[in-house]
Amino acid sequence: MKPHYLFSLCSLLLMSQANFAYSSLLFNITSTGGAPETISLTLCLNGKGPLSCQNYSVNNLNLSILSTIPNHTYATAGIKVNTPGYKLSGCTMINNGYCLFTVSNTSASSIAITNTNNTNAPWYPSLEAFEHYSSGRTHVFPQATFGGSMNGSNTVNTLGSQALAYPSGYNMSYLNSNLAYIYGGGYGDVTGSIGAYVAQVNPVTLQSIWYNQLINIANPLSPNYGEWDYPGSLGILEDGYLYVSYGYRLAKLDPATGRVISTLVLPTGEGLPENTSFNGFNATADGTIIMKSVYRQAGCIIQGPDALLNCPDPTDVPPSILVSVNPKTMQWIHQITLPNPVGARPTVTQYHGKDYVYLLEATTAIRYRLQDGIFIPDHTWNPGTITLTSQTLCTSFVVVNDWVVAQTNTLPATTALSVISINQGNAANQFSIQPFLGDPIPTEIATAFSPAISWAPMSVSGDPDTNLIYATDALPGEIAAISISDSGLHVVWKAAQRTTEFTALINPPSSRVVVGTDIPDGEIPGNNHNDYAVWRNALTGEEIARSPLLPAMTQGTMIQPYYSGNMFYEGQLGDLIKLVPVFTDH
Amino acid sequence: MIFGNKKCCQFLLLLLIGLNALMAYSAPNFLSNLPSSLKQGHPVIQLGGYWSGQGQTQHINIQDLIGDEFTVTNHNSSNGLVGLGYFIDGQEKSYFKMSYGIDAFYLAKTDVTGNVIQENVFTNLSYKYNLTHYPVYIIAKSTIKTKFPQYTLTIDTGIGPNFIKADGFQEHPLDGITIPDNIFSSHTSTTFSATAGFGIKINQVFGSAPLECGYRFFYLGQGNFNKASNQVLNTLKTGNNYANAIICSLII
Repeated sequence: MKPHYLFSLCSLLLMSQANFAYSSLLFNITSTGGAPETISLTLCLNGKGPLSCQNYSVNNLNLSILSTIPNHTYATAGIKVNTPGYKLSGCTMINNGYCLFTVSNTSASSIAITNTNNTNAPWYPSLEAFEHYSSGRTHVFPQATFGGSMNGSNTVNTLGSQALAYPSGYNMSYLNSNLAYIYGGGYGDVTGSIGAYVAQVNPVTLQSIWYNQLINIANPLSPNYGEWDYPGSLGILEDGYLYVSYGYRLAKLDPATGRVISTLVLPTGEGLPENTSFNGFNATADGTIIMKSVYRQAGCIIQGPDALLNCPDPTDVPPSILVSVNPKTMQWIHQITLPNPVGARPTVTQYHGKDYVYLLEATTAIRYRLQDGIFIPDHTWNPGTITLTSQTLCTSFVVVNDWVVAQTNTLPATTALSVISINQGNAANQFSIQPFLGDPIPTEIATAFSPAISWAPMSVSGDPDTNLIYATDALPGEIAAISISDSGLHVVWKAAQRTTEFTALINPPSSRVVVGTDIPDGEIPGNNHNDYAVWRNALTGEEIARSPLLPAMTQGTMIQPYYSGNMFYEGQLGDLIKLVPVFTDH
Repeated sequence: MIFGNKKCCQFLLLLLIGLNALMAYSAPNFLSNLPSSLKQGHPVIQLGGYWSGQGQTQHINIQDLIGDEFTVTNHNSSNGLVGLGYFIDGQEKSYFKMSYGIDAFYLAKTDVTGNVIQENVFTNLSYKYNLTHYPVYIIAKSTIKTKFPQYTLTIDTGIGPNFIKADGFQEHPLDGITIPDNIFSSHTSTTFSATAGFGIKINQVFGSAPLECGYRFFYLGQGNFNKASNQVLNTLKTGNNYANAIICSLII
């Protein structure tokens, strides 16, 4: 026999006798949506035993599981989370602690992991997942701390991104201190803003890790050219996905890559899509997303928030619609047309076990109960007219325990603003105070805004732990702390600070710090080129830290709390600046 | 091993049983003298070592799964043994003498090792278990005289129950992530057992007490484990167990 034939024969014999069994995984897991930590799982081909089990680790919350053995369906496969503080959905829990599901090598099973210790449901349990921390929009960020000393003598160091990197940055959300995301581009009236984008930001270098330009309204060749570019918002739900509202859309993104997983085109009511924006979104504790429309006057081509001021008749718009969305399916559940236009963002809370959506019309407030995603008007809660003559509409409600609190004059007004508290249990139980009534206004500002004497394009912040509300008015240029109780509203302290942005509350309750911007003297609110970032003792009003002069912040946003006592500041032209307050021992 | 071939051992066992039976049948007066003979018996202490053949490849069915293939990588093991018997003299002829007795043995623990091929595809686990045997026999022993008065040949045959204790079942991951199922628990089985062997008896080794050493073959039967999970549809068996032993006996 020739040698090569012999070799082939020997090889064939060896191969036919070889044991092809080898060690390998029983399951193939792909996962998306960030997790706060590595999560340990056990997966079994038989979850009842449990038998044929292996240990796995994942860093994301949404699992797509396949088995690896061909030609067999496992009807009672099982999964268990070993890391404390998590629960599973998409499977059937049995007594031995395993959750059963059906899987094969061709038919994947989708299982979701959620945090059971989340006190801020449905938002991802990080320092900031929703623009105002909780659905009640308190602006209290319990995990955020002040990096300096409450005794003052603090210096604020800064680190800036590349210029123009993040045009009209609006808000940031985090999965943890390393995974930070920014939404911006929604101010079509700001140079360089061409539409919504989301980016993952390296919190150390401030460079973008990925950047997804979701829409381009400035490119004549774009199908979205000329659409009204008005700020939506970014949020992260418990499933670890990024959700962003922009225009008349809601998108779900993979935080690992920025890839758009799904986009829901929303109904626009009586308005044309190109004139419709859903200004942000909120959500109930069970994760149902709530969105409300605002409109640009038909025929007006002014971009951004300017359209609400400078279109020929900004009030000539259809009534807003309210939409509920299932984020798992990315389908809307229910839509209703509101009785009147509503400018401010919806506030959501649970009161006595029921989910409510609070909305502010021009002169009154309304609320809807939400049940299984269906809006049910609650006519039993009717506060009547809550504004004074010549005041303009309120910004969003803030929930402070049993009260919902708002301030008037989102648009410049000729009557001093009011801070209004209404009891959730009885709308007739309400209080109102004008904390800045009669306070002087600098000449140049009075002239610029005449005849208006008040302008507060932001909501109050409310602290349920200290029962203090923080109100600001950009024309007198003041901030006030107001106590709220069953006996009414009372000013605790006032200080000079001129801002057009929301304030944030950080640090533990006994040493709470209120953070906001301050327009330099001589500059006109709304057209200012610069800002300072200011930290105050929230209980006393004492200023404890001030940043160097910074480029103007994106108007109507908020300095974003971050980890380790630091904060992020969104320059409207695109600078993202990290603010690092430190105690300086002189 | 010479007696590693099971068919060969079975043939030898049958041959020795037949031979001893023939010898016993040729002396019919033994039974009538039995009561007085009982008082004149001889205790026997036995010590030795054995080499076992045990374990078998088999498939274990699991509810809703394809199941696991249990292979055997090592089914030969060895250990010591101890025996205790009591014999009474039977009929005596010119060239041979018969004796009958009860002989109980303790075959110390040996083990079986192998691999588990999960779903007949992935070898993710190894396994191991222990077997201990406690056979008890009714023995017929033939002592054959030789031309050397100090030395005699012996042939032993016996049947009886064997109490097989199967325990210590454990699995270990081969890949670092597979979790052992440990689906079997200890079980003691009672099986049919037989033994046969031959040896040389040396008279007056310890004073007047003789010493006998020789080869013994054991057929130990099959044991099995208990299932530790109701999702397991059949239990693990040990396969037919055999042992080849070298035993020395001190006849008191």
